[in-house]
Amino acid sequence: MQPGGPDDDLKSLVPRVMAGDAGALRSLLSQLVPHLLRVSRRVLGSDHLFVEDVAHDAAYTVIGQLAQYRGEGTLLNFARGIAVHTAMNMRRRDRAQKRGSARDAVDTDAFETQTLDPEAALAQTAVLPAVREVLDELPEVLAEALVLNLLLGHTVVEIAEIAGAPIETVRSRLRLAKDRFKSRAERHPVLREMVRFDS
Amino acid sequence: MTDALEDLVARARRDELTGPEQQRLDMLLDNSAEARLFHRLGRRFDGEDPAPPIADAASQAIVEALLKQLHDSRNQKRRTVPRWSWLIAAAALFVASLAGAVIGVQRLRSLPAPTPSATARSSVSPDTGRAIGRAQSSVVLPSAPSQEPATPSLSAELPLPRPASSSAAELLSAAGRARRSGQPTQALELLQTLRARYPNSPEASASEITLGKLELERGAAAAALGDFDGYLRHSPGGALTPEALWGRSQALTQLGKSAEAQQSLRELLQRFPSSPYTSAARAKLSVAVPARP
Repeated sequence: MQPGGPDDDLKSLVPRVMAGDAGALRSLLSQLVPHLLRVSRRVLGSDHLFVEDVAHDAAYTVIGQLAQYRGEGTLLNFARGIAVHTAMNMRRRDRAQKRGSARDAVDTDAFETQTLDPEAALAQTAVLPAVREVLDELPEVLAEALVLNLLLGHTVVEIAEIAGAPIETVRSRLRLAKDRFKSRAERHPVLREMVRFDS
Repeated sequence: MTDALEDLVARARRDELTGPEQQRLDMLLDNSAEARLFHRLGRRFDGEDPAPPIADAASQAIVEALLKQLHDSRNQKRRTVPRWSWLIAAAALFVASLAGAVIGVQRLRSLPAPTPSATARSSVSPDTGRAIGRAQSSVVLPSAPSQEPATPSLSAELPLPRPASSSAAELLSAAGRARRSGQPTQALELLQTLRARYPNSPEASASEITLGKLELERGAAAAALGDFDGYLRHSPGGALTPEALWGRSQALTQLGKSAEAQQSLRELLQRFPSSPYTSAARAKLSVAVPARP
């Protein structure tokens, strides 16, 4: 089972792509790229300046690593794993360069000018960027597990396949990631109310 | 299929649960505040884009750029074969020269009494030196094929294109990489090279969007606006029109022209209701003009 993914008939395209079949390459990319773009949008936010670039680079890497794909999982999940890493690397780079906040979907200046119910407007538009911010603070393997589960809606078995980790390890990472996420979210100005509301 | 909470929540988000599974999930959600929190957050992310993902204009543009880039990369790989020949020939020349030098030195050593005239007469050393020099320069001068990986790798940064032989797609891609790695000057140079060398290419047209993003990133909103407007003017109905309209609204917002920015967002929503910017555009509009109860 995959979230919104096609059956893995993509596997059958791999030998043809490796043999230089241009039609197979087009078909493979046409089916993969929308999924990689979705990964990129969810991890970075739809209006991040480099959403398309990350999807492009991830797809280029997938093609370059086809020889390493041994068919153990679905090709789509193999590609999603690469896209998650590419997008998370971009977020880490953003954070290191202290540029991420300027590109988030939240236009903080806009909140200063609104007149009606600023709390509601803030909650409506700022929650997802805030979740991404909190995820940035988690250790890499925990953030990866939670990105795959929370942002992308993968099951534990799928996360294990994508991350190349045992199922019990993934369960443990998710448990730890959720605990740490909650404790940070409780201190976050945007997420605090939501966490308390659900408590 | 396991009925662990994470799996039930994930499958519920895809509408895959059976009746009993849905009942079990409802019970778990009733009893766990944490489960409710993560379920609600997950649903919010799902609301950002359609499921399953659709081949929108942005993904189609990426596919076309990739196909061109991979095609050019393969052609370039084929063109490197003669360079390998050069490299092998140069290496052979180097080995032969080295062997000649060793033999010459051995012969010189075997002479009973080298005299200044003999040393002067012996052309081995200077010739060898020149030969080695030629061989070394021959090794270095051709573009080293090892710098052009046939296939990209995750860890290795993709190579920057050589100025003389880069295709438009390579230049555009290299500019994107330079921009992402925090080298805006290099990115600008690559984009200018692209536009000068391939003025009528689709990549030159797309470069207006890239330039606009670059200008936005460094806070030059007026220049960015000019780039996005340039794309809309030069490529009416182009595949990157949603990106141009979105960028235009961001530039106008930075310039303090909020009314025009909102107009651009409204045009974006009207012309491209299922673009990736839809939810963000709606959110910005709703913030800018809050709905009155």
